[in-house]
Amino acid sequence: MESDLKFEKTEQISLVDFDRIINLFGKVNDKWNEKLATHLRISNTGIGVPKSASIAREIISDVGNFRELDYAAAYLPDSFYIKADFRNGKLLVRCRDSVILDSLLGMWQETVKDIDISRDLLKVAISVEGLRFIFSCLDNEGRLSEMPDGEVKLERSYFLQYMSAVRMSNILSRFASYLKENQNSDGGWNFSPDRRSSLLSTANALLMLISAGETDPIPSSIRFLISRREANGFWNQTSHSKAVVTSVITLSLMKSEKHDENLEPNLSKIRDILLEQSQGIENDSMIVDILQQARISLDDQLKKTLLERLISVEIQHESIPAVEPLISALIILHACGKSKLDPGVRKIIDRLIELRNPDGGWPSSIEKKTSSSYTTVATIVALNRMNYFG
Amino acid sequence: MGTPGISQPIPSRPVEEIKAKFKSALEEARETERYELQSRMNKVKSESEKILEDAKENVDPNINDHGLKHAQRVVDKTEKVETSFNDVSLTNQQMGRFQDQREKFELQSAACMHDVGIAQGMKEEHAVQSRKIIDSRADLFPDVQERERISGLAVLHSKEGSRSLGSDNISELERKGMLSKKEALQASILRIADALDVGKSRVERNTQGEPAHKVIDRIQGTQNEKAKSYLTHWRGHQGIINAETYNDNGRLGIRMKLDPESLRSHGSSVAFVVNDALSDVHSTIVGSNYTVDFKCADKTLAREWYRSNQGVFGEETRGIRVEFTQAYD
Repeated sequence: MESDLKFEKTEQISLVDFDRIINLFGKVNDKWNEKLATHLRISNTGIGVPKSASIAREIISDVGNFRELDYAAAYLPDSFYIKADFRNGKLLVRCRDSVILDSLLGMWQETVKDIDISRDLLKVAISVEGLRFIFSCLDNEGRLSEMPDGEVKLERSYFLQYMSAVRMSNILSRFASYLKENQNSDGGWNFSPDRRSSLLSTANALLMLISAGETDPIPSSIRFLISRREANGFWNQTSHSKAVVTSVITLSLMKSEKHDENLEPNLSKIRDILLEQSQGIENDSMIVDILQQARISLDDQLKKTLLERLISVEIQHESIPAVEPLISALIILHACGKSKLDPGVRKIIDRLIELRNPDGGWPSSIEKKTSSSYTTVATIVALNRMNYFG
Repeated sequence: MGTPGISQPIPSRPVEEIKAKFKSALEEARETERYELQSRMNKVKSESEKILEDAKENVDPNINDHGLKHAQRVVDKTEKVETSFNDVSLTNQQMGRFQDQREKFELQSAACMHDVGIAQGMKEEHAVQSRKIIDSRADLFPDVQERERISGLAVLHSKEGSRSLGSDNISELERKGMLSKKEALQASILRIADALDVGKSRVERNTQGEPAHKVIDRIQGTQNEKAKSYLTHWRGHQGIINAETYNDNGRLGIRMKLDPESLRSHGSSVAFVVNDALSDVHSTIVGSNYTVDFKCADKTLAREWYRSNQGVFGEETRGIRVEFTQAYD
């Protein structure tokens, strides 16, 4: 049976638009009160949409919580249907004619202009919508690409090992199974077109497998990494910082618990390198994270140096547009003992939130704009580390 | 001379006799298992009754039954939905066989305990809380793997619970390898059973046992906007007399018997509740591959109600076959 509501438009929404949506429904209700039916579905229960956002919030906390919110809808038979679907982030407006459609869209635009986002719902929105975006990058084979239908870029996947800490252990397990099934015969990994195993990709894959509790393909990957160690104990991969490549590999071998005792000195040397010279803020943050995982203390001098470097690159300045330096800054600030109460940390968190895409993900760079699953995981991990969700 | 070491041939027993003995031993083992599972099921039921009874004050008295009676109906419906799945070969397509006794026990246990999470208040998704409670009940499910299978099903019963895995669609979770075929089948049966407890019986009383007319009178008598929001939900459910699965010539059918009076007075509220139940079905392995039969004492009215609420019946019900039949009782 065909609907008579032929004119439609879809807008992207987020859970943080909740107050705006309730306000829109209130306006619609005031105008078409008589025959209007409304419906708010939460936790398998459907109720009428209240006019006030505060009452809607009370109901949601009585019936469930915001993670369980499905959608709000209003229907005036033979005239229009509005559905704000928080599950897929879409506001659908479907009307009998273009006049009503324009009127309803006008109401929505006015609401967006007048009413601020629901800031208290940001934490839930970031975690729910972030998970939704990351899941959309997982394909049927278990491949976790950087973006939907995109490529797997293991060299950029360092922070995926932390997915279990941010309620994404199922996706990590699935991707780990895919990695297990797609290991190169030399024991390493890489999903570049020539598939030649790379050191950093292999070490990142190994860290993910260990996090997911997998063990089977580990001996061959350890052999692959150890066989490529240089005489000075370091590893080298063209176009990557030697300190980063060495520290990621060292950590992966230490975590696999099948290392020889010559590994730990690597990290002490890398700490000295870091103290002497920055490897770039993103590399520095990874090294700091690795030192922490390996329980190698960052002494006061190193902390002081790292903080001075952050100030010198003006990372806390609003003009820094890229997401990844902001994530790196949070990781470093956390390692240096700063908390979310610190004004500099707050600025970075606020800026990261501004840079969140409507699909719930974060872009790897400001030029690309499209969300990256790896950057999104790293952002959520960094926010979680700052106890943002707590 | 015979073969060295064998002085006499072993007397061969008639094949039929061996077969009969084997069959009888097998039957005996099955009977023992059935008895054991039945006795465990009784324990699961009585324990979940206790949890839900103790938790009933956590549920808002203005909303429909989320307690013990609902859980009991879902257990019954789970069995019926499973039978329908078997009849239309869905089980066989999915698993290549029917569920065995232990699998049925696990599914029934999950059905029984799917809502026990309400005992923890509403801090987390209720399905996730149900999982935690089940995971803590080693007394009911001593085998860890069995316990995890049951608690996993309890999470998946609701869209909100499965969303914690990445999607509320069971088919998509299966397609992406997050669920096995068996898990997807069992979760689908449970989700449909829960969704089909949508009829009047769900709103005969609230969770605390108060009759519907008293709850409605109380809500109508108040100026409290929050309470008034719950009214449409009672009206919506009252429009569905009952809902059940059936075999529509080899295809899954869902029959909803509608109340003509409610269709006239609160048609859109009924449409929203019906659409929610159908979208729950759509989010399972069944997808849109089913028939919905709206049965009504006034078939013409039901058809007109469906037509005039087309706006409500959205994408999730697109592609399903819709039929209207006359109810004579």
